[in-house]
Amino acid sequence: MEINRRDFMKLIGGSLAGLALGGAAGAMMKLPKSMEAVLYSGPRIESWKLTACTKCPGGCSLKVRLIDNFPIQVFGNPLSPVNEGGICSMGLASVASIYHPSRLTGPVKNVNGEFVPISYDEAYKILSDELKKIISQNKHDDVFLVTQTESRLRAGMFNKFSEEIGFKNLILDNFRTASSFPYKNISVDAPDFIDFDKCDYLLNFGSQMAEISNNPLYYTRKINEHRSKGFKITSVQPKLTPGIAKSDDWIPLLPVSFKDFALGIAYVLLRDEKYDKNFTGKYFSGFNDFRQYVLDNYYPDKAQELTGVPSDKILQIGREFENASAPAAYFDEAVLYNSNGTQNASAIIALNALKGFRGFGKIKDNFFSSMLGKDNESIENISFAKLKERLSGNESIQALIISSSNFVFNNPGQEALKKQLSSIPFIVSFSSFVDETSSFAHLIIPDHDDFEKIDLLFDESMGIPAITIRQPVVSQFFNTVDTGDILISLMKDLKPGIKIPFQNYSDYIKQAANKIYSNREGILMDQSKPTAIEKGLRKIGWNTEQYPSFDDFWDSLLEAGGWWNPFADKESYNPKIDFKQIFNKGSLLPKSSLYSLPNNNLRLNIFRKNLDYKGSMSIYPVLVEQFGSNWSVFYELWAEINPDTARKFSVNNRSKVVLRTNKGKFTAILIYNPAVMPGNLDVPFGLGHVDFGDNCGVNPLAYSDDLSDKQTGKATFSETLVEIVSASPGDSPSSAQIMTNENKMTGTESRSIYA
Amino acid sequence: MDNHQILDEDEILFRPIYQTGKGFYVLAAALLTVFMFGVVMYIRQLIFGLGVTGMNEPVTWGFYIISFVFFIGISHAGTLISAILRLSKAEWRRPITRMAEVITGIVLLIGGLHPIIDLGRPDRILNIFERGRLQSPLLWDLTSITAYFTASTIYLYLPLIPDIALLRDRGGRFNKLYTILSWGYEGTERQKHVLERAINILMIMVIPIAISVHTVISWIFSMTLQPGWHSTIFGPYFVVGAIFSGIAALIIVMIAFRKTFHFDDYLKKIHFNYLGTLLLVMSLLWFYFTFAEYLTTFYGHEPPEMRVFLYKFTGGYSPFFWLMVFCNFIVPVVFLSNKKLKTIPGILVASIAVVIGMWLERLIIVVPSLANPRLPFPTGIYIPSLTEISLLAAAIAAFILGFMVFSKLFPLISIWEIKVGREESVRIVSERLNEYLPSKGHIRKQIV
Amino acid sequence: MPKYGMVIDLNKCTQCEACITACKLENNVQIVSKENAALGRAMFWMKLLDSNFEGAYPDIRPTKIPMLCLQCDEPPCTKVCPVRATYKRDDGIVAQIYPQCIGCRYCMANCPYSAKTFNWLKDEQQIENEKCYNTDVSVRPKGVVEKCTFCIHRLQAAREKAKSEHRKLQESDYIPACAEVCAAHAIYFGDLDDPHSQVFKLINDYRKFTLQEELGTKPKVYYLSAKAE
Repeated sequence: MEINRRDFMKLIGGSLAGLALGGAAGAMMKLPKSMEAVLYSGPRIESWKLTACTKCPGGCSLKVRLIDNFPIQVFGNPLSPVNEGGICSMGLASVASIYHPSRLTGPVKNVNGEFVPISYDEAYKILSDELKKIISQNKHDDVFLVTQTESRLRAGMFNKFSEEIGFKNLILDNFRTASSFPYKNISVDAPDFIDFDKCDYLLNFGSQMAEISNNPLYYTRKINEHRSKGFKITSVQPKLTPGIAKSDDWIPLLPVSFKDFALGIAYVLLRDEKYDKNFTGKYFSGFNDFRQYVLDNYYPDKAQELTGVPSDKILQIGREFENASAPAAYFDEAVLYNSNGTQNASAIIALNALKGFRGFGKIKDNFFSSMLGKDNESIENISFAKLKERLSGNESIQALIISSSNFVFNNPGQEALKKQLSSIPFIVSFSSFVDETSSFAHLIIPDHDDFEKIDLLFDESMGIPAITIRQPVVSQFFNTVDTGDILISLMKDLKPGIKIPFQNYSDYIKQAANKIYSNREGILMDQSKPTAIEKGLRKIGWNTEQYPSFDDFWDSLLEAGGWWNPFADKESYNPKIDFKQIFNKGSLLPKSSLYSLPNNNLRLNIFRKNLDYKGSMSIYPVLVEQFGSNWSVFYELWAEINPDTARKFSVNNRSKVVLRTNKGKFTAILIYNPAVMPGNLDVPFGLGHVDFGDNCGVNPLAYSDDLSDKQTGKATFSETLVEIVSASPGDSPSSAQIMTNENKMTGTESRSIYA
Repeated sequence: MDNHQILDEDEILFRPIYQTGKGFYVLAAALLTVFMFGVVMYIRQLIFGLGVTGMNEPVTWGFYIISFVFFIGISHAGTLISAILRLSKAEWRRPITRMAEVITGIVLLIGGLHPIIDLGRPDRILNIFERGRLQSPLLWDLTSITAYFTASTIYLYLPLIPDIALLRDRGGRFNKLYTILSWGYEGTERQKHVLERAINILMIMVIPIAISVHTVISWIFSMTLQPGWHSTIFGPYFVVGAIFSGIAALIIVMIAFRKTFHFDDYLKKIHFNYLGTLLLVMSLLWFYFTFAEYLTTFYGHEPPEMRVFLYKFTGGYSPFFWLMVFCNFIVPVVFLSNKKLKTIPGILVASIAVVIGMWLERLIIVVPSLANPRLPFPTGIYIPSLTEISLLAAAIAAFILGFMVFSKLFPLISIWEIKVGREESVRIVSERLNEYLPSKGHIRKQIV
Repeated sequence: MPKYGMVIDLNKCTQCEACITACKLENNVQIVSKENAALGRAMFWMKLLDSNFEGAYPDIRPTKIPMLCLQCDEPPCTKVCPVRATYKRDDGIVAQIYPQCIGCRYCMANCPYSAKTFNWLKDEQQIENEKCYNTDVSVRPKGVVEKCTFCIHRLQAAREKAKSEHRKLQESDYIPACAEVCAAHAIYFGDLDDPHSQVFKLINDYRKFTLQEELGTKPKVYYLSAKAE
């Protein structure tokens, strides 16, 4: 029946129904009692506040519209150089989480499967007692901390905590650390950014730059800006996602073969002798071995055999790469989502070395490390690989501390993971919701919502130091506690007598800001972008920034929303790399079996959408509905297939298919898309939450093989085989064909029905 | 009670008014249940909104509009049979006209209500009067249906007056009602003359109004830019289709009542033969229009039009399309052109096929064009819900109920016209014939 | 009178779909339940239209066009509305009068761009937290047709503000939500009649086209697209 209990109660009880901020707000938003009265009859005064976003590492500056001090809408801050007024869907929708009915309002304890609210003091006592016990037993090695927060200072706090207390197993796995891992793996510093002023050729391996990257909005602007100036992009990816649709060339290639392709390009450079001999002489030890290795094993026909890319294409890309003055072969964490991900990245680093990393740059004087203290730099963080190893091994874990991570959802082999998690004696989570991972926690002390926190966010992709301030736009609604504060209290409790220079997390942030203040170089974001004259004057030391005291500066900083230094110089990036570290000798992988599909099998290629790339946005109904909207598929999983492949299997467009992998069966709607690799079935990641957010769709990772990159533990996204078990009739072929001028959907001619 | 002393020679025509069998009550109860179920479903629709139907985007019109066009189409039975046959002085119309006019009256009411059922906000219906825009085809629609309803109700009432007078004279039930309605008709020469004049004026007026009604309804579709709708042929096409379905409906009604009330002596085989021939002619005419319409579409081969065309011919709607052609063309031609098959059961089969086929034709016109938008959005899917099906059933039930109520109050066959026909027609017709025949030769004595 | 129009540069658009989300949140557009979305009743005032594939695999490039109500100068929808619930204003915006609409959906049947959407039901949101409604925009009841109005509530607010400051309305005072949030700065908005405005210059660009020009609806949303480079 359509009238359910809530409707009924609304009709009867209805005191707050249908009024206030439009719709039936009061009865269904979760609000503190004191605020409900204002919601009902407030004066409706509008105000604006600035804050910043951490849904992705970019750290865009936001301006929040508040009505009667309720955050209602979010827009981009037009004055911020990071996003210049732009904002993505995730940021736009993010304001709704503060009111979410499933949001935890205070610490809860798991009592026989139910989460029972307890007071903060009680919760803190449980946590600190447990940790004290472990420390007294000297079982520091049996404690794992997991955080995937995009805020570097918050990660730094975890860092400091682990260091001080002596916990070695900190998994700090956010976008930037994962992207830098391949460099750390061969003991070099990662480059900070792509230098768009110099770079004229970008060979992009697997990164969905304009959608999901270190700073998507910045890359969007830069790619648009520079394309008109002759900047060329070649993207090597298994799927032509919207983020790379502007590439001049798309090389459809499975991630398992990225290494072979990169070395095939290297072959062209080495044979034509058009590599940077200066760089290889100074910084590339073992270069001659590398050169021999590539020349012997990666001639174009062999590369074609290993990758499936035609050899003339490899020659073409190779020539473009070698003739560019400052090319960059770019990858980010997306390259790690394969069982040989780190090896692929190593090969790409070697390719860059042949051209001296000229397309990359470093921020001068390691600004963020030196200015904000080494806390923000990740320690030798270990990756999920170690956690998975430990979980499945014989040595047990005593305690697991989770913050900003839903790794049960984001990994395959979920049944095994869940079983392993339930055998850990103590799990504490700082998540605001009970999601797939925190449902295993014994204790949850929810963190503040994004709009109640304070933080400093920065990202190196812009090439110059830029910092956005996240500040609370409302005072906290409920009984939540900032995780940073908890860590600081724990540090004081677990290591009595410790000398830490800050009392709480807010202090810590202020001290970081103090370093910017003493730097005296940059400008606040609400000031106009400097002209060339101003830049010149700065260089000779002319500086008009005057703030009488740090507090003055801090207030102005909060008002401006951020700080940046457009006058900063850039440094070139010259890492010392060692051939022996890059390659395990002699490991020429045979051509992957994924290329010759056994009959009736297709490759399950999981891709990420920018609306929900971590699987954490399912609490926002607007994004869940919009997820498949451009294919007119709603609340369901869809699978994109090349029409030629589909015809071999005799399945029609938009038919409901049942797919089967080794792990089970699931349904999806089949969509014809000519821009899909033949033999692939492209399936989006992000749907399929059961206990958390909207209960719709299927999580394809639950059905993919339990393979991951050995070093980082990142799940593989494209190595599972799938077959179509059954299909409903779908659209009849004639109605699909009429959309083309010719009766073909392979796109061999431009099929527009307009001019 | 009823006065059986005056035993009229047409007593059988009066009998339904005075005698009610058990079957009547059973059927009325069943139909009333169906109707009330439809009313309940409609109230549910008022509470929850149009979402209880199967309509969606892009198929924004469904069963309600289809039934609307269908029922208004059937209403053409009344005028064309009644008015045109009267105009052409066809004598065989006499037992048919009453039923035809009643069909029109009832079906206009039902059809006219359907757009209101289809509205998202029927509580704002008065906006049409306060702020209506005459540039909109829906308003033309409203005007012409109102005019047609007025005209055809009067056209039903006027020839009913002498029959009411007869009923009043017999005494019995509803005498007060009959007295008021008969307007003091006594059958005097002057009254007869006035009545004749009035009927003649109205009969001529009604024809253009009737044609305008269905033309205007077709213009609701053809004035849009939708592929498959934007065609100049729609005006005449819909009129032809309306007459076609009207005749079929009339035949079914006639056969039904002939069986129930034993009107065999009045509704003879020859009436059905003539109507059957008319039905055959309309079927061929309908096929001509349909063929012309689709041939021009196909030959022009414009992509948006072809998308709709293929959807109808070979795509998702092909079963309905070919069933429609079968029902509207093959079955009538087979049954009505073959002397052996042109029996009353055969004609009944053909008529039922035509009624179903014409309803399907409205479906084929409304849904495929909406389901295939011009821009490359995916094809829409329309699955009617219980609400729409039950309202269609309720509409049909209302139609039959309306007839049943009418049959209890007024005679279903125009008694006075039968009497006039019996007494005077032969003379009038033979006089007319004499006007055609050449004057040379003997004029023989006529047997009067 | 200004004539408001929009230009969307498809060569800059990266199909990030932020404009779609922004429109939905700005205008309080309903989020429908799973059952209704499966039936085809999802309500989007702005959609990504999958229109074109150019070139052969693997040089194939899809073009997706952000489609909103194109605010035609000769709108087919206003012609057929029986109660003048949709009408074209002097400043070019085709507006909707929600209290006047009787829900006959004739305008939806006549729009060749399928730009209009209808409130079939008043659903409960699945998770009822999407109640951060924008107080500037009325929430439509069931049974009423709605569509993009170039965020006309922002125009009204801007007009009042300019009036209270005793000055004329400037171009930068008024911008719809979709143009405001576009990260690639691909959506331009302004007065098509003002020779100093950016949109005026862009509609004379060689790359411009409009959708289904041959129908004569004279849409005021132009697209710029240079074909395969």
